Amino acid sequence: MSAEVKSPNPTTEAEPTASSATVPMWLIALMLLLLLGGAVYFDARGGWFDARVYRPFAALPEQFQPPPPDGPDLRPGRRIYDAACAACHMVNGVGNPAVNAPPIAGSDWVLADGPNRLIRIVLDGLTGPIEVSGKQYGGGVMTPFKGTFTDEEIAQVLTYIRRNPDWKHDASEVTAEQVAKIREQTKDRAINWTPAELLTIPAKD
Amino acid sequence: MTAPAVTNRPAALAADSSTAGIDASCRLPLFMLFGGAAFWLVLGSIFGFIASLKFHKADFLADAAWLTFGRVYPASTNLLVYGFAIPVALGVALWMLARLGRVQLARPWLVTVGAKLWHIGVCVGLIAILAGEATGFEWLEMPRYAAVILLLAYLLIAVWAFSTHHARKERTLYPSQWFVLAALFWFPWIYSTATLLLQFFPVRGVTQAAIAWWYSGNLLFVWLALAGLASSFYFLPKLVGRPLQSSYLALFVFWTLILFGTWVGIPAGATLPAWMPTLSNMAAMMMVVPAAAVVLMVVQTTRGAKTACGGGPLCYMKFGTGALALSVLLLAASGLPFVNRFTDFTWFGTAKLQLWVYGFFAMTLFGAVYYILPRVAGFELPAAKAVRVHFWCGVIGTLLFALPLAIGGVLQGVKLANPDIPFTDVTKATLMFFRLGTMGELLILAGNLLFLFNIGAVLVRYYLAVCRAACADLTAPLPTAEVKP
Repeated sequence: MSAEVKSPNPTTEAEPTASSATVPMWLIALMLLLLLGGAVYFDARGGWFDARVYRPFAALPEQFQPPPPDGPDLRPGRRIYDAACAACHMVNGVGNPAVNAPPIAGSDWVLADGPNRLIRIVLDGLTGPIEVSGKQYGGGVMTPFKGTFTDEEIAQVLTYIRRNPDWKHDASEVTAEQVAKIREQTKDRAINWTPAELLTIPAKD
Repeated sequence: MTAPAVTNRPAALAADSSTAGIDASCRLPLFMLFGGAAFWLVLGSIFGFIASLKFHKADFLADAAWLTFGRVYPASTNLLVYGFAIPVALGVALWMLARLGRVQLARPWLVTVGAKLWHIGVCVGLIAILAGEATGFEWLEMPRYAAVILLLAYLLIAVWAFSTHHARKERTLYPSQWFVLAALFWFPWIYSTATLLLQFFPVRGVTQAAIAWWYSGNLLFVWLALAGLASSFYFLPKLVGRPLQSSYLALFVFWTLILFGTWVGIPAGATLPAWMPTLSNMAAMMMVVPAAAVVLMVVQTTRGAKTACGGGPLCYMKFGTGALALSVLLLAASGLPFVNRFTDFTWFGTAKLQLWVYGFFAMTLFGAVYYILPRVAGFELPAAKAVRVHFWCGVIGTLLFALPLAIGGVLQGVKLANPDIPFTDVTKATLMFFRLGTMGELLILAGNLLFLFNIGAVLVRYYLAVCRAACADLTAPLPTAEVKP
């Protein structure tokens, strides 16, 4: 213990005072510099206080821009993927071994010639061990999305995963008509697909 | 009364504005605030220790619902802030207001009632959290019936703090008084707003998350900072015997802290309109400005002073400043997009908060309490050596907890971003850092026990003396003049 506690309660104990030295200029300069940096940062990412701008977008035109001139519009599919699929397959499509979810990115199932098997998986779900791109994945269960999404939405999300440039995917687009056809063919099915069953169905018509 | 140290009769002290008189007027309220705070602090760190053991052995105490992670972890954080930080800061604030105003504390007995009520509120909140009634909003887990008690108790204490300040004899304000007064207003504003909008009349959707983050940011980065800096700006000049450098710099710290601190708290990955996390991250980076000013101030005030700190209050204050600087650097770094891409949702945030809440705030306030306690009690601390041991437990414990987790958090984030590493491997890889962190937590717990021991010993010794004096009064022979023939 330091000396000042040795004698508690001295009759008069001086209270601290403050000097009136000025604030150094470099501190003000640092603040202005950081404020400038902050303003640039906000301008680049803040969406200018527009409540409709969410990450990963930084401005309104970016979020509502017209579809790309070549190829289908991937943004609606991306929104569905992030909301419904990313919980297990992850936003970056690498899958999650903890829940036996195989990867989407680079998957030979996703990049097949046609979407016939993919559409069935999304409609009625999948169960049992599956081999993806030459690697075995344990017996996870994917739930059916038959009642959740419309033909249009399933087509959008499948188009997104088949053509996502981030994963260097460039497979064919999926249309709502293809989904509607398979939904009609399998409307009486009440159980998940198994990989073995799916492999008997041609990937492409 | 035989012992002058325990004289507490209002009549004897009413007009006494000497430091001894002022200290005596603060005695009972401060005993109540500090004693309860030390108890909750130890209990909170025990809960925190149980929570961290679950990362090493998941089935540890998993059979009792009230000892599961989801309950003991919020119990520990809430006890740290509501049980320890707020009452201890209020106690130090009351004492500083009385001392700086050269006036006795107004209505000490009502403040004591307020302090008791506050501890009852914390007790109710703790039981509610352990019973599974927590609200689910981080740092605001105590349900609304506990919140009402806490708010009433706070107001009861704050009213007499303002009354004391109003009656001050020294009219010139010292910087610590600005900080204390702002803090006194800040808490009821944010706490009532958050409680009303989240628990009584819940707002819809993502607005709830925004309000919860706003509240916790303000509580941790404005309220704790105001209360902690008020103490270091008061005690540092006092302990080194030099004037504070300077009053203008303190003004600069005050306004930049309030201006930037109030926006901090929304993580970069929050699912809110993009401007909210962006502005919050920008404010986190701007916090470097007040932190740099604080460091400059502390260095200029203490530089060249020949006072050795020897593990006493001065050491605590200096370490607190260092921890503040380090924590703000981590905070500012996590505002940068190329850093928070890796650090969001990792141990990095825990390390940053521990440095802030324990390293800066708690250590500064420990120093203040160790300085005040012998003065208001009227005798030396019973275990003066424990103060130094507590200091080193706190320093090593904080660093051992925060540094490995900060490093481990960055590595965890980098691995999480790599699709080739499975999630379970990433989690397992953080265990080594977490083991070090648990060691740090044990040291902190040991330090907190020493704190409780010192305060408890002061209280026991004081009340024993009071009882003895009362017994002596009762058993003393009646003065002969009053004996009727």
